[in-house]
Amino acid sequence: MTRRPSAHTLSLFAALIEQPRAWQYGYELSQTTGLQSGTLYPILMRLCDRGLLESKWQPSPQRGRPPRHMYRLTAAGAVSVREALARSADPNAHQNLMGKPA
Amino acid sequence: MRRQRSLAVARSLARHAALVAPHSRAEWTTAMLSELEHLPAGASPTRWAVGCVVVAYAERMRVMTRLLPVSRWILTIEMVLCFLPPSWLFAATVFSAAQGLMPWQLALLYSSVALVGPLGLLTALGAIHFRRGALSRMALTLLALLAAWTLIGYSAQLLKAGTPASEWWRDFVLIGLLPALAVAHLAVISDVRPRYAAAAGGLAG
Repeated sequence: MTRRPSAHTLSLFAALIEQPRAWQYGYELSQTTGLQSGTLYPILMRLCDRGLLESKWQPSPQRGRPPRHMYRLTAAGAVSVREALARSADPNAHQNLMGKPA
Repeated sequence: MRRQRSLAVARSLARHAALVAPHSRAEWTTAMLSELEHLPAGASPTRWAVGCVVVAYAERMRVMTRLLPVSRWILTIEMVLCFLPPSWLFAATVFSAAQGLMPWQLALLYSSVALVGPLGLLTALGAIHFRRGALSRMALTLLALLAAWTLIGYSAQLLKAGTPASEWWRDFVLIGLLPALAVAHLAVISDVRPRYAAAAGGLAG
């Protein structure tokens, strides 16, 4: 049985696909999607585990503050996310993005 | 001042999250906690930190349920302990009915309530020793329904009979609760083991 991405995952997809090649911070994504950290980060983790998202550390320009983790879609992730969003627009379609191994 | 206090609470929560989170998610925990130090003035650091704690516990539980290496012999002991009391009740009921000591209607009710004992024991032992702990969906559904029936039936009977609290607790745990917990554990194992085995290239088991 295939699994559809949750509404939270779809809202994150929508935020990521707006600028697929841009690096975004966790808080920035939280603001765009309206997701709390406790909901957002597990989704980011799973997407990274599946190779749909890449992450990197960026040193903070402000002295004394820790580096920040940034995220953006991989090339494969952008394709999958576009497909998922297209399918979510069609209520009869099922897809297996979140159930698919990396 | 208020912001400083809120930040101090958030940092304490964040430290707790870092302690709880599994090692495999250390980078993610660091990421969440680093982000805490970059929140703008309008954002609530406490709310962000509570989210970190929730994620840390969820990931810890995920790792524990996925990788807990339970030996088949420990599982065997657990299943025997959980299913033996209702099995004993089932055997005693059948024996009493056969001797004519119990009306057959009552025996039927008692044995149906205790049926999860012998059935659960046989199914669990078969699964643990011959099928790597995995149960079919149908077997699990049947056991879950029987366990629910036992829990409901026995609780209702005890409540109706007005048994003293001490006995009520003992009977409820031994006859009603333990088989239900055993079935829940079997369901977790059946769900997790095949995926874990596949992820480990078929080496686990």
